[in-house]
Amino acid sequence: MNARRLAHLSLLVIWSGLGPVWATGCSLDETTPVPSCSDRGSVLIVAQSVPGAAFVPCIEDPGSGWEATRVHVDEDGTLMRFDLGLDAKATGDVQFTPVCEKAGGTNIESGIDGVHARLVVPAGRHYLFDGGCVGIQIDGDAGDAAVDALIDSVVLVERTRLAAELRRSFIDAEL
Amino acid sequence: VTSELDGHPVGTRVGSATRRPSGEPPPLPRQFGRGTIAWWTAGAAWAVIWVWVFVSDRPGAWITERDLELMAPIVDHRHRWVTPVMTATNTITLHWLTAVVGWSTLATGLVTRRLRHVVLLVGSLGVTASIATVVGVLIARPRPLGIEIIGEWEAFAQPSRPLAMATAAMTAGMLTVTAAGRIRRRVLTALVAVLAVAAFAQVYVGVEHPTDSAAGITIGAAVTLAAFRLGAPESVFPIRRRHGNSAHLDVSGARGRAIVLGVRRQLGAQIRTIEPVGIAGSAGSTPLRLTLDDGRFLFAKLYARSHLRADRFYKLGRTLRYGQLEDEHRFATVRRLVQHEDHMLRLFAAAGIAVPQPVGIVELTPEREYLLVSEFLTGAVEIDETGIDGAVVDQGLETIERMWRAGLAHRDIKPANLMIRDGRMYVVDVAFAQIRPSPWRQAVDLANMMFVLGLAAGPERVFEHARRRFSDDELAEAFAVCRGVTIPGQLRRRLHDHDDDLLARFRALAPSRRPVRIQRWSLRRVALTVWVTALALLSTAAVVGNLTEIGLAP
Repeated sequence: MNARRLAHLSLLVIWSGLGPVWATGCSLDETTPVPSCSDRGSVLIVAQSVPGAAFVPCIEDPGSGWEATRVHVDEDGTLMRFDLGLDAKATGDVQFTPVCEKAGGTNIESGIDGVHARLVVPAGRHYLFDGGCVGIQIDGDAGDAAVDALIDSVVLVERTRLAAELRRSFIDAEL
Repeated sequence: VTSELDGHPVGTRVGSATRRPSGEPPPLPRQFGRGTIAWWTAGAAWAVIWVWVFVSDRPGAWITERDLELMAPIVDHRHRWVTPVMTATNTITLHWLTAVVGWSTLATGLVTRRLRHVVLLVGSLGVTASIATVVGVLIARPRPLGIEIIGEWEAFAQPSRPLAMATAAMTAGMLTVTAAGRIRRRVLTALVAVLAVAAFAQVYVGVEHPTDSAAGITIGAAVTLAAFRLGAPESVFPIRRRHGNSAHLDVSGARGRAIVLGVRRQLGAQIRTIEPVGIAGSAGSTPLRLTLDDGRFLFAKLYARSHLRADRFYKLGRTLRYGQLEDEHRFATVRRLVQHEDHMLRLFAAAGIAVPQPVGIVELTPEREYLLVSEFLTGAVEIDETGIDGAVVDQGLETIERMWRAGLAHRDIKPANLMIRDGRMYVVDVAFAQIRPSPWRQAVDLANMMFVLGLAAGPERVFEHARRRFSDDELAEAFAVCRGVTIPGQLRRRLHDHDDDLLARFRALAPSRRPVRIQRWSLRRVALTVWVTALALLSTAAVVGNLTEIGLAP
């Protein structure tokens, strides 16, 4: 194989991988992975988006037809958007911020020390803790089972536990 | 090599040529600058590091520890006066730098009609963004750990997306706007300074590790340099301060030296000077006059890949507008293009048509740049710069008659391609010539020749001479096929500026005949039109829909 053919082949390989990402409009937010509880690496950057929060959210597969469509992480927090079904008949936002954007709601038992939970209408949950808030808001006709599935898929991990894991498995640094 | 060549066998050489031994470079070897190669090497090195980090945590941890050691003295000594400046710099880099530089470059490129550079700019930004996104997601590197982050950031740290995009935009801007030389070197210095400040600011505010910045800058530069060096090499698509014909290549510097070397080795002639000649009438090549050491002249046409691409787009445009009027197949390589023209020159000569005697082909860069060398018609002038008599009219018509008999068509009959010397007409520039053309094309050649002759000698006189060689039907056919598209641009302008409507007068002289339809519809044309339209729409949609991703929208 001559150099010219090799160059063409390389370009083909590169474009077959990168071209669709660019040409089909798969943006950074659409390609950033959901912070999975089984992959703590991707949870680190979520933790950094709200550096003072005592808990950090991660996601266990919500199932029930929920698909992550957007994950935006920056210095103001993290937004994860899920669509229900191919026709997106409902959307669910999981937002991790220093403070809850909406007040109100009915206090309920969270089952986690240091975390206050509130039921919000029409469907959703707020988890409040030191330095942060995780808000789950579902819009559209999702049905009770799907609402519960999405709410249950959000797991709160203690920052101290995450930091200990980081020190054990990666480097000795603060989170 | 002017009149001395007359009467010599076709293909006469001007001296003894020497063979290039195996392994010896051609006169103008294809070379990339050391800087470009260094960036590509650095880009490849990063690719290796990413793969390593992807498959194992250990190198990632080691690199992060070194990064944090490097950052510590900087973040530990943040100063209250410097911090606001660094924070603002980080914000500008993140949101504005690529957009401002990118749009400025895009606007300048469009105004100066450097469309190729504009396309390469957008392409470079797209590929850089894709690489940054894919690598960022695969490596999933967090922002610096254990450091107070005081600036804006978004998504994963490695590679630095803002710096990658800014580097791509600034490199593309430099290569699109500034001419090679002193000004570009100054711009490069400024560009390096801006990137250094931006990178330092990102480390200072703690949003990126030093290696994130380094990787981002490397990728932006490597991708953009690859796009521009391969897609618009400086030697073929130079940036000039004044807008000129992009078909004309610079023959000074390395290319000039290569021409001298190539002509000496391959044709055995020693060149004293090289000068562009007949630039105004040439759009598809760079015509040159070579002065030899003994004072004789040679004519040379320099062909490069830019001419090949221009030929492709010209033929694509014709196919879309009119269908397959005739042979619209593109040349695959520059070598084949010059082979074709050289062969045509010899066929015309063999058919008894007066053409400049071919001398030979000089290879400057294999498959990329060639020089087609022929006799220089000293003292010859374009046909519309001199008065013509009946003998010249006859020669013009005889030329068409001989082409018809030999099964040839010139396809570019215009004043610039008909030279007169000592009362003799020479046909030049046979690049578009074709063997066994369609009857339509043969009729077009006749009509165009009659227009050129008619401009100087008047239509009645030319028509009277033509009737001695061509039948009434043939003459009627010639003017029935005439349309704007069939008349070369230079001839069309001359006809437009002429007092009389020559086409109407010729049609009045010739027997009436219904105009020949030139629109050719075929499945291929329909498919090609759909394909090109879809490609243009998709490309536009991809760019417009991803303005934020490629950094052109803040």
